[in-house]
Amino acid sequence: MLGGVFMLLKTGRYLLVLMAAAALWRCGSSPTSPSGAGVKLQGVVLRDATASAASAGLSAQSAKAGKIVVTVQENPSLSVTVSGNGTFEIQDVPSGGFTLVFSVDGVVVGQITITAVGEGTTIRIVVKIKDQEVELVEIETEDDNDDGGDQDSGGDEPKSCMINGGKVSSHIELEGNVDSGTSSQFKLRVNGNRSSGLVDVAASGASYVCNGKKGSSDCKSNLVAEAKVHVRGNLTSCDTLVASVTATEVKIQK
Amino acid sequence: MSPAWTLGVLLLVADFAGASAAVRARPRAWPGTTSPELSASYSFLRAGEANLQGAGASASFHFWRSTRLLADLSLHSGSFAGADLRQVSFMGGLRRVFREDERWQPFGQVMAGGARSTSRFADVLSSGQTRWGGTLGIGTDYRLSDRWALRGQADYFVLHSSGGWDGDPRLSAGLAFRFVR
Repeated sequence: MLGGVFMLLKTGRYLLVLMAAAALWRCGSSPTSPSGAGVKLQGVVLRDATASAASAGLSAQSAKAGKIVVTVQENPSLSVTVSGNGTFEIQDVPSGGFTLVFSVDGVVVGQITITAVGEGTTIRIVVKIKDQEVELVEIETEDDNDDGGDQDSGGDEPKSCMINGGKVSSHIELEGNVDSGTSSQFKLRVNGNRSSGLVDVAASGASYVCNGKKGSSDCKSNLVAEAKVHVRGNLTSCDTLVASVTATEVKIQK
Repeated sequence: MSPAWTLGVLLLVADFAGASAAVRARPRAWPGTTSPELSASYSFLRAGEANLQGAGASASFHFWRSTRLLADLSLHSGSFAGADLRQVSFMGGLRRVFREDERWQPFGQVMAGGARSTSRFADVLSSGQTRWGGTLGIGTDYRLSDRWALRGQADYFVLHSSGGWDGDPRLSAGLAFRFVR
């Protein structure tokens, strides 16, 4: 009997040690991510990413990568170091919009602006850093307060988004002409009657393609008023008056 | 020295069997304490900000007294922010087993080695990095028979990359088999 009680106490002691160890681990494993409600940003940085077919050269290229730090420009205290596997998370980023500044070994290599973000949203991005350049590969937003209802304007429901078929937090592709702005932020006049107004496009992290040629440094300069473009990205906000898209790719066709 | 490392060192040097030896009823001596051992486990790894799941295998060989030489291989995968992540870790080191004559056999271990992390997006883009470092771990075996034991284990990977040091905890549960002659 005494032996049984002793065994139980002993097992309990080991469990306590395990739990204490687990608690200690979590204290030191995460970069500075202030906690709290608000907008949460999760991201993956692909360092010197290459197409899968060329994966043989990965290790040599990756060894050159340095310490990558992501800082929210509007609040520099929100800053994290990207972990060894490329993941990072920042909590409480400003709702409405913010700019992420990426630096490698202390040298700023680029920035990405994300606009029109609502409270309680989780933003997931995949970013490629190569040749001292930052490119937004994918962006996905999820409204944590969403009850699952479809924000698309369909059926007999009153129209809530000025873009036909536009659904907030979803992938979208638009074709039209540049009304005004620059390669990092411009207003798009969508072809046909798909949109009842100009669409704001944040494209600072987007990849630019000109006449089928990707990555040309001169390509961005071709984005001028009336240029015909195809925009691929994420519809971050939309109502009957204003719509914002964060672009991952801008194709300038003419 | 961080609290986690301090705890690990204490676990490795402490003699759990010391204080209460007189009270304990020793059930029997388990054979094969010097025999080779293999184990397989399911494991969970917190790698950076991602939660990865996977499996691991380890082999250990008697080295000196209650200390064993150890080799450990594990593969974990999962996704984060739309990218697919994978991590293969390969480690070797020493394990000290406590209370080798009892059913519950706690152990502490230290290993050194590396981990290869791969991030892939939409099967089009991928990047990878190999990091080097070590682990501290504790665990316990519950002997089911002379050969078989249930094993629970917790490790803390400390790995160095070009971005600095990362600390990744791993929890495992599985079975261990001892080649008793």
